[in-house]
This record gives sequence, C-alpha cells and structure tokens, in this order.
Amino acid sequence: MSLSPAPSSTAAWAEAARIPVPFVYYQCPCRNLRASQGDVLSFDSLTQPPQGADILTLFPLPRLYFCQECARMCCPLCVAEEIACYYCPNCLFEVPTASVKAERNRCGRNCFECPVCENTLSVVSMVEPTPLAGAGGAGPAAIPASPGGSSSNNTHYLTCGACRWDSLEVGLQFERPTGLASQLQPHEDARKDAIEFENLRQHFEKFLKSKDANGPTPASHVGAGGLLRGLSGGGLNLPPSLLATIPGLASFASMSRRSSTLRAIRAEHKLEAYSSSVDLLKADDADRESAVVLSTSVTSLQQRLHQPNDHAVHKTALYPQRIQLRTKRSKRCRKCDHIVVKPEHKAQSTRFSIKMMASNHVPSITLAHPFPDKLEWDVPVRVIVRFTNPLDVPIQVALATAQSTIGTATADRTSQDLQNEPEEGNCQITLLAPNFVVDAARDIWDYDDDAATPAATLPVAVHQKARNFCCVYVQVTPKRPGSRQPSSEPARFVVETIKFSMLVHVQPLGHEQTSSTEVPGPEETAGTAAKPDKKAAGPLSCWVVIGLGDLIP
Amino acid sequence: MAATLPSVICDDSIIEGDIIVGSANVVSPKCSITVAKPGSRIVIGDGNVFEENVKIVHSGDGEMKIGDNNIFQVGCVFEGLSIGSGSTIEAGANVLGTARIGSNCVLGAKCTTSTALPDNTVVFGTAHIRRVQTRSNRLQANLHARHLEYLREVLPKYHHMRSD
Amino acid sequence: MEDPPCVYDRSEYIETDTGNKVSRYSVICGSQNIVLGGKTVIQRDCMVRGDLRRTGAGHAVVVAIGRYCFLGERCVVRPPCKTYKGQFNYYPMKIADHVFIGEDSVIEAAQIGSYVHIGKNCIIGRFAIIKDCCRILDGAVVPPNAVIPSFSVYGGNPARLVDELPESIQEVYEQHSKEFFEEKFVLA
Repeated sequence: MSLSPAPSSTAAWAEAARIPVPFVYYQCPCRNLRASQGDVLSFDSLTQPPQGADILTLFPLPRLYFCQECARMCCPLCVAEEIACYYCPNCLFEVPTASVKAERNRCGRNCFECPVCENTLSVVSMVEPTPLAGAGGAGPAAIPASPGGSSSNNTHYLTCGACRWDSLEVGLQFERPTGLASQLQPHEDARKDAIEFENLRQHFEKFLKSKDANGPTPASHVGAGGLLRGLSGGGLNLPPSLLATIPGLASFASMSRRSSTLRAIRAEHKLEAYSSSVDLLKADDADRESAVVLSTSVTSLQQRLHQPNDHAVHKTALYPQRIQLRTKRSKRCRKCDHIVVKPEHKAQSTRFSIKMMASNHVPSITLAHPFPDKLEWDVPVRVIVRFTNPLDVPIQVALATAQSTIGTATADRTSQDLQNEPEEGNCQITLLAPNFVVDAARDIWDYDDDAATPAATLPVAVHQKARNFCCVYVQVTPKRPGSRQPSSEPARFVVETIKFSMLVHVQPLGHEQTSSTEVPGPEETAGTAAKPDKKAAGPLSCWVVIGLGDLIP
Repeated sequence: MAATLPSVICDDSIIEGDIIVGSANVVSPKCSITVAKPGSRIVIGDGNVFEENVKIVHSGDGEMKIGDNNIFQVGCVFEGLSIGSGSTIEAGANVLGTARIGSNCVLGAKCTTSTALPDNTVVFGTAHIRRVQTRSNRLQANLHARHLEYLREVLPKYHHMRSD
Repeated sequence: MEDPPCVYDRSEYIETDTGNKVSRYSVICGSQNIVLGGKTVIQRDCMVRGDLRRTGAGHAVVVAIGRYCFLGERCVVRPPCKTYKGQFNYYPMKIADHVFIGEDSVIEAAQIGSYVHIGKNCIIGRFAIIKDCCRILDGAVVPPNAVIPSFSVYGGNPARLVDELPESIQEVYEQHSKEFFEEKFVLA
C-alpha cells in the first residue's frame, strides 16, 4: 500500500510507485482470465508471470477477497462495489440515503472543517464577562469558555485546533451551540450561484406555466408538473433517472411515464430573454483584479480547489465547509454476483454480515526469519519462505518459478516476440523444495507444545514444519540484467528491487490423508484428485511476487 | 497568579546550571533545563508549564529569557534565544539556533524553527505554514490559568518535589 | 516480512499476575489509577501519567489499557485536559485491546478503539477519538478533537485520510499482537 503524500518529482513518483521491500504480493487471477477460456481457473491458464505494469494488479493477502461460488480470488480491482450506508466521519451518525442527496453529501449536523487546514472545527462559546470568582484578576472583555456554559446572550463560534483559525475571522457567529447547519442555511442560500439557480428555475417555471395555459392540462398535472412535460416537449428529452439527480425535481421523475403520451405540445411561445439579476462572472473578475495586489490575503490554490462552490478569492471569504460523508461499501464478485463483503448497516459497527477474505482460503506466504541482511549481485542467499495453511484440511503445495515454466528463449528473437515473452527477472531462483505438504489448521489447544516435526525427519530443503505452517528454502542469486535490451524506459531508476515471481499451486488433500514424512515425488502431479468433501475446496493457483530488497545496479 | 507563589518542580526533572526561576511555574517529571556554558544563564518568568520530556538547553553565551505563562508541551526542544509570553510550543516541536519567539505564538506539533517568530504567529503543518491568529489567545489564557492551578494542586500528591 | 523476535532481559521486565510485562525503566506515575488489561507490554522509557486525574474524591481510573497492547519505547501516554463549565479537569483515557503504539509517540487521545496500529513519532492530540481498526502512519500529527473513523489510514501533519484498510485488518492486527506476545517477545 503506497501511503506517502504526493511526490514532487518524476523520480519521486517512480519511488512512490514501488512496493516497499520486502514484500510478498499476490496477483489476482482476474488479470489472466480471458472470456474465451471460460471461468475455469486451471493451471494452464496461468502461464504468464506478472511483469511490468502488472505491478498494479499485485496485492497483499489481506486486500484480497475470495468468492466461494467461483472458487477464486477477487482483488479490489475486480469486485463490484455498492454503497451500503453513508455516515459522517466526524459525528459517526448514519445519514439515511434519502437525505444524502438533500444535504449534498455533507453532514447536516454540527460538523465543519477548517478552510485553512481541513481539520474538524470545534464549537466554542464566548460568555458575557462575569467577575472570575476567586481568581482576583481582571478578566479581558469577553472570556471564552468551553461549550456547556449558559447559552443565553452568548456568541458561539468555530475554532480549529491545528491552525488556530476561528470563524470570527470571517465574521461567522452562531446563536446556539447546536443546530449549526440550520443556522448556516440562510448564508448558503445567499450564495451567488444558489441565487442564480433559483432565479433560473423561477424564470423557466413562469414560462412553462404560461405555456401550460394554452396546452391540454390534465387535472393531475398542475404547477410544476408542467415543467416536466415542457422539458420533454421542448426537445430536452430528459430521462427520469437524470431528473432524479436534480434536487427539487426528483419527485417529478415518476411522472415522466405519463408525459410521454402528451408530446403533442408545440413550443409556440418563445422563451423570454433571461437577464441575470446576479452577475456572477463579473464579480469574480473584479475580485481577482484587486486580489492580485494584496497577495497576503488571497486564498491558496489548494484552499480554493477544496471549496469549488465558493469561489473564495479573499481569505475573508473562506467559509468553513460541512464535512463530506463517507460510505460503507459492500462488495460483489463480478462473475457470479455473489456478495463477498457485506458490512453491518450501523455506522459505528466494525462487524460484517458476510466477509469472505482470501486469507481464510489461500495459504499465507511470508518471509520468515532469519532473513539475509544484505543482498549483493551474484551472491546466492537463502531465503526462508513460510506457508501457513488456513484450511482445515492439509494442502499440497507445488511451486514453480518463471524460469522453469516458460519455454526456452531462442537466439533470434524478434522484437515482436520480446513483447509477448516475459521479461527477464533480475535474479536467479532455485526452488529447493518444489513440492511439500502443509498440515491443517486446528484450534490452538489441539496443538501440543513441542509437536514440531523433528529436523531429522524433515524432507530436504524444508526448514521447519510445525502446526499449520511449513518453512522452505529458496535460493536467490541477484543477477545483473546484462542481457536485457538497452532500456527504452524514459527514467532510469536509482535502485532496483530484487524480486521474483513464483507460481503457487495449492491442492487440498482429503481429511484421511495426513502429512507423510516423505515429500511426494515429482512424478505425482499436483492434480491428484482429492476425496470428495462436503466443502470441496478445489485446487488453486496464483502467481506470487516476492520482493527481497533493493540493490543499486 | 499571585507573584509570591513558589514554583512546583518535580524531583525527577533535571535542572542544572545558573537558572533563575520565577514564581508559580510547574516543571513536570522527566523535564530537563540545562545550561551548557558556565557563564550563561536562563531566566524563566512566571506561570510557565513545562511538561514531560521537555528539553531546554542553553548552549550559547549570554542569557536565555523565557517569559510568562508559556506552555511547553511534551517532548519539545527549546534551544533558541528567547520566548515571549503566552506562547505555546506544542508536542515534539523544536526551536533551534538563534530563534526568538514572540508573544502569543503557537509553534505547532513537530514543527521546527530556527528563525524569529513575530508576535501572534501560528506555525503548523509539515509545510510550516505561518499565519496570524487574533483572538484565540484569550481562550488559551483562561485555560492556562486554570491548568496552572490544577497542576500545582495535583502534582505534589504524586511526586516528590524539589524545594529550591 | 515477519518481525524479528524481540529479545528482552528477564530482569528488566516486571510480569504481573495478569500477564502484563512492564519494563522497570518505564515511568509509571500514579500506578493505582492505571488499569492494564493483561498480556500488555510496556517497554522501557515509556511514560504513563496516571497522576493527572479528575479532581474529586474516590478511586478513579485515569488510564485504562486493554489486552495485548504494546507501548513502544519512549512513548508518552497522558490523559487529555480541558475546561468544561468553568472547571478545568483531566479526563480519563481509554485504550482498548490489541493496540500497538510505536516508539516516541505522544498519545493524548480520549479514546482509542481496538485493533489500532499507531506508528512511530506520532502525536495524537487532545480528545481525539480513534475508532476500531485504524492505522496512524509514522510521524502523523492528529489534531485535537479529531475523530478518526474505522478502517481508515491517517497520515501527515495535520493528519488527513490517506487510505482505507481492508476488511480483514482486524484479524491481521489481532494475529500480529497475539503472535508478538506469545512468540516474539522472548526472554534472553
């Protein structure tokens, strides 16, 4: 997860796009499946390891979901999201979907954010001066106190904890400490574009009413209902779904069905010229011209972009914004439309009604200790990779790397071929344990303390095997990419990440098959049929990219 | 605060060197106020609050002057030349070099300054944005007075106090 | 990559009967007002101010920390204070289970939910409320009175929403803190 602030240069962008090492990232099969192959996720469909821009389809295991119907992993890119509920991130109150549109996706209670630093504002009241009992000092003219003081004769204002901005700088005060949004409503209605919109609406309504007076007027269509018919008659065929998004006209969307039968209205009356009573653009220009001179009192670009409705040029016009709502989303698998994640409707709850995550079905792969402290070119190191089995049946894991699965490269490759073939990696991998079995996961108290398989009986290249995990060795030799074509890449990265792709094929074994002390030989294919089970977990394959460290080429 | 109230200094704090402490200050445990060079000294006014892990280091010559009613929050470092009255140095902030902080200033959390801050300046954020604050200092003055009262009452109950 | 095992000296840590491991070099003020849930680790040079309590008689819990928490080195946990209805007071602070607090952080929040991962060098302002399953990045400064909703990642100074956490993060953090306590925090 790249979580740094916006980078400032190209090299910094390249840096930010890299996954921080060391990492183990999975590739979701949505990248490779094409419609022609159907939905079967077989071993053969995954022949291309992730390369180049595929880095964007790599995710760590906690981010991946698992659809049980399709028996495959889903990633954040291939799930369809639906909004389950809206809530305010500050007061954590749930907002019913109907009010969301009315409040324009912002909190309708007392939640405001500072125009300067975008943090939450808190309400502070200024009480009338009273002699401070016992302190003996002469207080200043108005003594601020925290909310909770008697609210009669008080002015309340907003203040920011981070930048110490307060709303008195823009002249904003409140009479009561609660219901601030409603107190701010007249100010919002007095904004220039809101006035303009109202004027436009009234102008059109007047025109359409007069048109209605001539045309047939069914009794049920009165008043603004004619607006809808007029719109469709005047050539603006607005579908009901679009009308539903315009505040104020949403209720007329349902009337559109009837209006389509009455399209015999002719636009006889011409629309009168509309003269705006509020001159929006000219006022802005005047503001800007004067603001060029006084540069200290002008808002910054980021502040302006954060409040696009306000056109605030001067800092004195920077009003606090209401806080935008956030959503809880439920996710579905795109193929079969089954819900993969469904949160609870309560905004404050962190539980889920349905939660099918990949970590419960796919073995978790991590780099275990001891980890090689430094990597050098052409020096082989041994990395210990731990496979943890989340299922309640033992699994057989088969590993392969790009170097062993892809066909050999021939000397006379054309540039066309190069595009189709995977690019050379920057390290040489030897999988010392390509096949092994990992035991089933059981409850904590079922495990004995020292039940780890003793080292003498471990198959070759298995470092440790206990409980429901198994650690294997992988030998990695970073190799300078000398044979790679001269780079057509525009930017030369300063460091190179040593990473390799590994194809992991997981075959769940039946309950009766316990882990044997011998690793099944290579002639036993990984496609051994498992005994049919009630919850038959099928085989699973995916590419995993393991990044070890950075080296300067 | 009455000028004759003694300062409350916890025993765990480190106070070394020639330091003149005014009245009614509160020094929390694990705070350190040190003078590096033997010839120089620190003059601290009245009613300041030094929270834990604060480091006031005077490594230069002459006098470092700390005014009245300032608050030094957790973990800040002050190595500047002087600070006025009623200012706040927030958690993790650093004042280095030859900085002179004015009165009613706020140096935000994790901000660093080595230049002068005029009166009524607020510095905050990674970008060290500066702006001028107008009235919030009144809120803080009230809070500060009561804070001092509280600390003077509670700290001696839980910590050993230094008597000088 | 998994975390390396953290080796500690038996003589350095005091183990309570509920399984908490508190370093002898940490500074715990007012320990009678501090409640530790059990299996919590407090590393060296930490400061927990249990002495800043509400004025008033009786036993008050000032800092309540849940189970499987981890307080990194040199972090400062102190309750928040404000003036309410003319009276100045420190308010109790509640930290729930499975909370990881990184080194050198200053926590003055009013409430921290479960499964929260706070990075190094963070400053959590007064009366901040951090709900369950959140992550605060290294070096973040959360301003006072902020509310951090669930499943969010906040970073920067002043802290802003940077990312959202996956739904399985609760299991990830739970396993991380349990594994740390059971396996990684080993005696020398």
